[in-house]
Amino acid sequence: MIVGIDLGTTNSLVSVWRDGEAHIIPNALGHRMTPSVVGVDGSGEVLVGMAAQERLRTHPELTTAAFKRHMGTRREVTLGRRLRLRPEELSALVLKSLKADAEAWLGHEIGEAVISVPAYFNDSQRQATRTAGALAGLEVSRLINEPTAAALAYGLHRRDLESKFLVFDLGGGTFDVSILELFEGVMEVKASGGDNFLGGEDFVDALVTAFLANAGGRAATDRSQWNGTALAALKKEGERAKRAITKDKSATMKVRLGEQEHSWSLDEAGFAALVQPLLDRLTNPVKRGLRDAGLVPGDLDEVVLVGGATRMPVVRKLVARMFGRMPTIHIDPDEVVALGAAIQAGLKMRDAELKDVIVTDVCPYSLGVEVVEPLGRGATRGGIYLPIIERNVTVPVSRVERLYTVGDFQPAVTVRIFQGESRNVSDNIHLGQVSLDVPSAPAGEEQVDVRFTYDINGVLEVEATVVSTQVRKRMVIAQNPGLMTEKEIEKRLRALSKLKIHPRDREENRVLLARAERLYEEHLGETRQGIGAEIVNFEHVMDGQDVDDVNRARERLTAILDRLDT
Amino acid sequence: MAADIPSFWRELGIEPTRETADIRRAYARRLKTTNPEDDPVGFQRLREAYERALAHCRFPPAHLSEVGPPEPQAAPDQDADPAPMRSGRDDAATDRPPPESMALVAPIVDSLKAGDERSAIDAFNAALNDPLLVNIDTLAEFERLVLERIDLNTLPEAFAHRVVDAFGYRQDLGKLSGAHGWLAAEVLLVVETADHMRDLRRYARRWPIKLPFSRAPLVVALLLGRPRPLLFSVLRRSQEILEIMVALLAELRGLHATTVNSYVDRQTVDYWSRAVRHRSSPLDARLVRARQWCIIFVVVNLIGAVGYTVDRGSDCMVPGLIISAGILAVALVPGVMERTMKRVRAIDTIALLAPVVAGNCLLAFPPQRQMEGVIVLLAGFALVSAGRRFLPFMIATGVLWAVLFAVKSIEALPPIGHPLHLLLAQYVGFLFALALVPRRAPS
Repeated sequence: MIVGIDLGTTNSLVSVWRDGEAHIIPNALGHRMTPSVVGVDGSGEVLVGMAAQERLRTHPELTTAAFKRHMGTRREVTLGRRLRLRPEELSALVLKSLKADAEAWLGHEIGEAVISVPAYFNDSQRQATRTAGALAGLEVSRLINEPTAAALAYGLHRRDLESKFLVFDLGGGTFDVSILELFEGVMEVKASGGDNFLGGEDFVDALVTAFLANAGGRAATDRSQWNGTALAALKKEGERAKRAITKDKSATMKVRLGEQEHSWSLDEAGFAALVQPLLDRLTNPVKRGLRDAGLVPGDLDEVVLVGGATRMPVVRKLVARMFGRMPTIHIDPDEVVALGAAIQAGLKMRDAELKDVIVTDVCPYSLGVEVVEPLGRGATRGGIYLPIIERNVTVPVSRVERLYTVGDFQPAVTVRIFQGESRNVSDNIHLGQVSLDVPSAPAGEEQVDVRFTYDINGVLEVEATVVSTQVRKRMVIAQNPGLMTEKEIEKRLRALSKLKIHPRDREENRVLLARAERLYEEHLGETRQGIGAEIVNFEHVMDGQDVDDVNRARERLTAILDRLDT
Repeated sequence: MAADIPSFWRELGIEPTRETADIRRAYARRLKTTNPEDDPVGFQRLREAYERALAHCRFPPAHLSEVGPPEPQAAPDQDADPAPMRSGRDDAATDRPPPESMALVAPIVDSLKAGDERSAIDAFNAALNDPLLVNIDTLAEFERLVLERIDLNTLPEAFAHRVVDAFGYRQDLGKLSGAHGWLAAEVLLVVETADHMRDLRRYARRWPIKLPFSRAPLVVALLLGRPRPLLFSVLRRSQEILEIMVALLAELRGLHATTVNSYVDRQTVDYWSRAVRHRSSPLDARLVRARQWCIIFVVVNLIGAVGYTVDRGSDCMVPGLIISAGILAVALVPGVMERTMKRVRAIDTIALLAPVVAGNCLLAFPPQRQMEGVIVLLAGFALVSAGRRFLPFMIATGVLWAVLFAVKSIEALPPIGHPLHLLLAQYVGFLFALALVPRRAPS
């Protein structure tokens, strides 16, 4: 059995294709979404999901979120005193939790998964995602681009129609645009584009920054006053305000700093002005995608919104004005990617229901090498980018380019491999390099063939061949600092298996306790004392291990907290 | 291409057609068996066939061959007028732009016409912030209008920069196609030329010839190998730029041949070579040639000096080394060769090499035959000044020496190690080297 996983910046989902339908699998709490948050508690036990999310506010130094943004980098997060985890490992913990949920729901072991990644994820980010899968004990049988997954979910039931549509996917941390065409039962992605560092989180950050700048009093603007807990509280308040503006057209952010409470309100128009720089960044990827696909907005039959951040009215209005029409939202924008991943898993399992479905995807960015441009009199200008695979060609694809030596009697050729669109390689992402010895000869006489192969999972393979000697070499990815070597993976896998992970069956109590602790910190005076008493009481009942008692106490505490938490 | 046509139709499993729908249907049918998941190699073949078939529908091959390569290059001697370049304007006139985006474009164009770059950029920024332009169709309309209405030939660099950034052209490497793609490419060219100029300026410090950089954009545009018809007409009229061109061509001839070919448009070089032919040959090419000759002379001279020393004792080594060092100094100390060459243009390279020839003659002849050596030398110079030709001089001198020695030594063939052998060996080597060195510097 292969499951589909949407490993998101803020929330993750697991899904499965069964009985000719895609199902979202609920987690231990019965929720369809698991927050992508990881933390440890005082005893060193690892918490994932809701329980960790509740503690984000109360224990910011023990909890971490939005680590998907650092995938493909070496950046480690320190939780508590000694636990240092890489983004791959944090993602692996989330994947493990999703895997456990799926195994409980399906009643058998799961070894394989289709994981969705932002279309605009680069090679090292994709490799990191695969590593995360391996660390979680899952074989990643396929990486699927998020907008392609969304399109699968949308297009599956109208395969007999001929249509062109655009998927506008603004998630927690990434923005993707894909343009698709359905014809003769084929789902063809014509172009993809996006921005890896633009998502709902940025809107929250904008609110936080504006709060710090505007909320009255010197204390509020003085950054040194804000410790980890206060900042975490502010961030949560920003998140709440973002949702409130979506619902009620206005919001007030309130944060207590020391004895003083600071507050700041803004309405929808103010919010729109605040996030204008972010909204501006949404236009170019759309424009470029349309141009690459050779379409104008009028050619599109539909514009589909995907991703939680598209719930914001500012975004919806922008999309409506961009295309001069109302966008479509048939499926819950939070779930559509996971459903698509499940369909891809079904395709992978060759489900009879999906016999005729064929999806073709594209490589969303250009891939190429650095070349040197002669300026005259032996002077050269290096750092010029020569794309070998042009963006938005249908994958799998394989292309060769022949390069020539520039120096007289140069002993070797180093092929540096880049991803990006800029003419100067310094503005593009360095992926790796290959060094080849060439026979001594005057400039331009020795040639090197560089072959780029990009497969359906978005993994790049580079092979360079010296034409005269037929010596071949492959890209050395190990030089990329963002990636782990096989050895490292194994070491980390052992370390990870030693971690104590909070048992799934007691998850609910853990979440409730974390929530109570958060409310304890948020309130003052009698209410706070009341919550404190309830926490002690609940912990006492939990120690008693009597299932009925625990259930009763849980219901009671939940009711109390629900009253307080508006 | 014609030979390939049957193969891609065969790959799709249909007869050649112009119907896109048929091609798509065939592609979809074949995909069911050749999908990217199970057969990546087969899929790539199918995909290529599909794309070629679609391209065949869009541009039928017969049409392609009539048009030829899509290079928008006019004949150089055609007196270029800006009008034929703006074919885009006709389209604009036929489908009327909505008045609102026109209103946004007008102040930009007016500021540019007035030469006020600052306010043109401000107007452009203001227009981009206009809520109207959130709509992608309106934005595209605005972009088209901007590209059509601005005068590409007088486009200020900073404004071009702003346009390129705002519309993201720099990231659109090779993708600037479509109705207004080439206008966009022109704007990008202005920016890229500026970038390129910056690099050239950096390297120019090391160049022996200084290009007057105030007018360099035009020259650099030529370097980029993308001549525009207008550029030709400007260059033809301006004496100053013509002079830059002469210097530039001198530079180009000094470059490695493959570099020039890959970098500069051949037709451009030929055109300008013809245009400046009446001027003297470029200094730079002569420099390269002279340096090559100097090195050969030094090598030959040293062989000779060593040979004579071995043969007769130590009386030849010192003058041989002194002469070699002198030539090397002339050839390699920066600036010396350039100055000498400028002053002694008439007798060309020979003037520099005369001391070597003289030295060799004196070394070759034993003290009692010095007079004969001087005769050979004078005869050689007579030949040089008569025809200013180098090769005949070499051959003639060699023959003369050989005859002289033959006459002197005819009674008894000289034994091995005799100076005659060394001398002849030296000349054989000389002529051999002559065959290796290109007559003219690569162009």
